[in-house]
Amino acid sequence: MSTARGDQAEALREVLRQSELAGASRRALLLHIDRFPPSLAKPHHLRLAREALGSLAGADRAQFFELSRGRIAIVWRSRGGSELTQVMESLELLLSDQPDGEAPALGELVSLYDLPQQAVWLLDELIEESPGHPPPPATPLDVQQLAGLEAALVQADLAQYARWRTIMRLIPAGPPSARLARIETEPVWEERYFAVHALGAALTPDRGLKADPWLFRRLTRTLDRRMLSMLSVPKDVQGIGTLGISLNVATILGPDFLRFDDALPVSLRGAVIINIRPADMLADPASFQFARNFARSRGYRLALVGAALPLLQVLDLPACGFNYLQTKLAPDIMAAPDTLLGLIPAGTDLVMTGLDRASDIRWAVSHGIALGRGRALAR
Amino acid sequence: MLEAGLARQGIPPTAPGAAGFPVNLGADRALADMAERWLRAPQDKLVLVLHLSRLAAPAPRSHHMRVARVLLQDCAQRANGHVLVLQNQDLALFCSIPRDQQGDSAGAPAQLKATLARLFVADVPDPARLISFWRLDEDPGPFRAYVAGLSGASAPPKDAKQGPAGETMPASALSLAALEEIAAQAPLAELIVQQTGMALSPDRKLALADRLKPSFRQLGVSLAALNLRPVITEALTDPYLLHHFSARLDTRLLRVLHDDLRAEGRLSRAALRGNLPIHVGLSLEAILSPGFARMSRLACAAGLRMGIEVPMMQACVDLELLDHVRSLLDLAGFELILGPLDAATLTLVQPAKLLPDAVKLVWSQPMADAAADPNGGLSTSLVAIGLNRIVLQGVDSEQAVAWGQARGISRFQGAFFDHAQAAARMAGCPGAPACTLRQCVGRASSQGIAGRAGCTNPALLDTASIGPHSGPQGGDGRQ
Repeated sequence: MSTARGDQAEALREVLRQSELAGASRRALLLHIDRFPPSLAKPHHLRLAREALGSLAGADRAQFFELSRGRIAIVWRSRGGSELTQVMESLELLLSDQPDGEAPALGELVSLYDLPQQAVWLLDELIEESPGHPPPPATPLDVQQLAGLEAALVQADLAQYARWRTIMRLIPAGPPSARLARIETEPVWEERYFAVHALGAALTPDRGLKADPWLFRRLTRTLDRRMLSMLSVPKDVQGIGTLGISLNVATILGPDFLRFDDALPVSLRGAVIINIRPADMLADPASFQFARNFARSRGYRLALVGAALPLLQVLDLPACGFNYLQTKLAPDIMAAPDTLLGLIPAGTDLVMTGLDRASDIRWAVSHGIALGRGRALAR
Repeated sequence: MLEAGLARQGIPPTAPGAAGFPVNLGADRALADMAERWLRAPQDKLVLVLHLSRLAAPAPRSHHMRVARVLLQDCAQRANGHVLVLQNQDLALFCSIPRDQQGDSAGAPAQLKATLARLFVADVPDPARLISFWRLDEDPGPFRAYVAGLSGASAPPKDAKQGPAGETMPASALSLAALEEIAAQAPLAELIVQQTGMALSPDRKLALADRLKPSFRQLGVSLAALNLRPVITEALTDPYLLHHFSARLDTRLLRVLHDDLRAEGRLSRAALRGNLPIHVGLSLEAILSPGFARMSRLACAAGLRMGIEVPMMQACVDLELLDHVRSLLDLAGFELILGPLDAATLTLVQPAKLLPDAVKLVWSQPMADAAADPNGGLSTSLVAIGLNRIVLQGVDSEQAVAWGQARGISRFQGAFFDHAQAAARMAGCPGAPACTLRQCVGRASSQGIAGRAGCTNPALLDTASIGPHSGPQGGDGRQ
């Protein structure tokens, strides 16, 4: 903890990049000291909180990072079972200093990450670091580099970049009088995707894969094909339950998907949810409608992902015909939840993503939202 | 943007070929043989034909064929059947199902019929029209007539088959490199094309020619003159490559417009003389670029009115960016135009909610059919946009004009008017006997020196009135 905070953030980024590149399994903890309520932010509280983290100093290859707003991150190698438990117990003890009902939930003050799968979430937390020196915009790919990348991706071993995340059902528990006192969760389906950030860092470290959005969208078609080929091994998909994958419309209508469909046991077709992005739906609306109707006739379910509230208000959602709408919790939604809820057609389920704090989950449940994803649910 | 230019110039939207489905030249012979055998013993025989040949161009696209064929083959496996791909690209499924297993609905083939009808709902207003289903032991007549019709016609396959957006496998590095080079070095000034949109007065007492006045002048880039290799045009059927490529060309187009305005060149002079707004398609990135700011300053100073056409997909994908663009256009006094929109897009999106100043709607028969129901979604969408904000684009026939008129649309753009304008020019042009109508249309469209070569009265080319010409005036400025 000797250098400036910007450097510490950069050092943490590097650790995360290395973990993603090597596929090295790590655990990380982020203590949000900035979220401590004023009554808990007295100097002795902060000292106790820092001391509580000291238990992890003995964990294998533990590294500490001081970030902006007093936040502290720790990355270590083992699962850190006993050390982590000690940390959590010490912090619980600190919270118990607060009167009932005023203490924040521990989950709001501490975020835990499994690396490399959740490295991107921790990277998100670092975006605001080094505010005086915003990272320069990445140089976009040009089309020749795109062609080279497409060719390379056809052959590359992408297993180390494959990730998953879980959509959870949010179940209010306890007696009706205290309906929101406790919320239980259960996994509903698992989404498979490639860690594009790590992939880009490995294959084109000097270029931003997403810097040209159109070329990036095109590149995703190659990633689609690789994902389908990874899932075409029957033993790999048996027993995984419901599965979500992101595909382009062109992929759904292409030979790779037809082969995947042919190889997939009929019983599993209903267990596959296909995520579609708005840009892809609107790039060729007639093909989208054809693909949607074809996929549904084969038993697949479809989700629109990545559409924020303003776009959802522009789309004719009943006509779009999705089974799920996946949208990220954002200030405009929190300010006018009924606007969003009023848009959801009958027969379509809303999946709220970006549930990163315990309070987000409580907010979602209080508005009748039953499906969600986010860091607070991944803990 | 490029798309409108491509379509206007009649560049095939994709490379020829049925994308992996070579036409079996013996298919119709096989059909005739099969028909003969089955009609001899029609008991329990069912035939389903998917008439892909009835889809309007550019359909049938390769995914129509690929997916439908999979569905038919699935059904054939379950129902002891056989699938034939015919020369006209229709698909025929022959099944033999014992009557006692057919049930009321004839089992799997009937289910298939319903599935196929759902699939094509965005391509034709009445998908049932694409499917014939015959029980040969009940009424073999229609099937017999269908087979006879095929053998009489022996229709050649349509030559332009477009896949779904970007369905092609990774484009070769060579074709992509060529694209990049074209974007950077193509002689843009020679590739700029124009088309004059017309406003139609509602006064039906006047003759059509008297009711039509030039309303705006659309400028775009066409690659037709470059005679691109099929591999390049195929790469451009990928909407994402096309957006990337268009954005590159937009930057150069802005520079051409800027230079023309600064030098009071022909592009701006023609528009200013007729007091016609110029419509230009641009990507959001181009509108936010310094090149646009430079061009718009000059345009404002010259009193040139402009409408900037933004592709719907780009507008929707980043609404925050669209708001920023809208503010910039407002400041310059330019119109925000969304387009071009087809029927399938209007099914999914409510453009009125994006508050455009105008919307370019692409005419097509399926679109007209879909809008036939005054209470249907498409009609509602058009009314919500506001008929006075709609420009009907791609108008290629009197039927299209009549359709627009009947709906209350008053602004039009398309080949029908290009020809009418050319005919009016030729009526007053002493050099006309040496030209064809098509040449006059092509030369008026082109803004390059090479494209106008051969015209002995080039000053007339920038006139766009339908009525008789006495000189090279533009429109009267009314809209």
